[in-house]
Amino acid sequence: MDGAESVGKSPVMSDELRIVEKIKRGDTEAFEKLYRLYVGRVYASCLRLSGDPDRAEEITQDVFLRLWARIGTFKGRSAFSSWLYRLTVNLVIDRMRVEQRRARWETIDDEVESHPDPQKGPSPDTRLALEAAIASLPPGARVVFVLHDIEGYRHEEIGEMTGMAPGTSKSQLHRARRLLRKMLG
Amino acid sequence: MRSHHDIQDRLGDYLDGSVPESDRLEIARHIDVCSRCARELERLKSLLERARDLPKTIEPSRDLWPGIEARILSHAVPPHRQRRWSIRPRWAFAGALAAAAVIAAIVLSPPGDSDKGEVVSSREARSYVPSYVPALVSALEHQCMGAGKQLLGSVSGGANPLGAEVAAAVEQNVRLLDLAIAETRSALEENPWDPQLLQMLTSKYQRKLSLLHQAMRLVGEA
Repeated sequence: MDGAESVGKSPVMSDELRIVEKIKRGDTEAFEKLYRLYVGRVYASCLRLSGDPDRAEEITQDVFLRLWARIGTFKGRSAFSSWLYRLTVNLVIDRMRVEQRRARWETIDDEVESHPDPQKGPSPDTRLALEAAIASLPPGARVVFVLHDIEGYRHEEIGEMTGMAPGTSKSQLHRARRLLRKMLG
Repeated sequence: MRSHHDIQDRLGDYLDGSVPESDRLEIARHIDVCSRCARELERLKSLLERARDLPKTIEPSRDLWPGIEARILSHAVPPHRQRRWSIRPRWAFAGALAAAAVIAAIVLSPPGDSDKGEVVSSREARSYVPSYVPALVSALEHQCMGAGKQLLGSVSGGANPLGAEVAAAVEQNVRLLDLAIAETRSALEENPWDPQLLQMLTSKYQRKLSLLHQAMRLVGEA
């Protein structure tokens, strides 16, 4: 998947569209091929958005089941990868809403800001430290950081996907960056 | 003239190119002469570069295809009716508050016998632990302790607002989460460089935090 990037026509994409057409006719082998092509990308998104490897695996399975059920609605007007990414984000956010239906996105959960000693935070040089710090962000801040700073979506697009007002998205991003700098030292 | 705090507060927008031209010039001029804000700008730039460079694909720990295929072929359950991902949805949303003494005893005690803010116990193992692991675990522990204290504060001095049955459910689930945290921390002692274990531990703490916050919200609504 390409996140917010636009994808031009390419031989790979044509192959992909051929696979999609086969899947629309119920070809499970073609679906497995598509799964192998995208599972790493879907799982990475689910993992970063949910912050939980177990849940990410469960949601990844559900993304592909939803994809199977809805593949008929893909008309090829956008890149398949972008369409699949939207489907992934929507599903993760649906699940987060179920889990936190009593909370609002804007819920302030700032205990993390009282980190006992930011100077002793994770080593800033490791990818793992950054991944772990992202996973420990409050949900709203984490989702916006992943979509904006990792995937490259604009606040308006994030608003469309999450239902947040663009202003809320901006403040969550600001908060996420501040918390990450604090955690990473 | 803006303060350092004002300038640093706008560095993200500055890097995103979303500040008006007049503000952009003012921030640029300030950074030219202020090493503190210039350093902060570099830290933010570095964070954003590292975020952009994170790998776009991560393979799950197991092959998910057999499960997907089985469900597709069985047609047993339509995808939109798959079970939810919440660990214990029934109690999580029925949720809520226990008698203050019970909650205090549980939520204010870190999980596991060896939990003293350190992930590793042996000197040998400690020498191989990535430096950020103890700090991260300590921060998460701190968050849970903070939430536990807040919860205790919100129920102290009054009767249990939601009844003994719900309190027992909360108690049981906090205990289960603490057990899971202790087990994961123990596994992390053995394999301190295992990224999956670290993420699992982070997620367990998040669930505990989420539970405590849900309980607090329910107390507030009661």
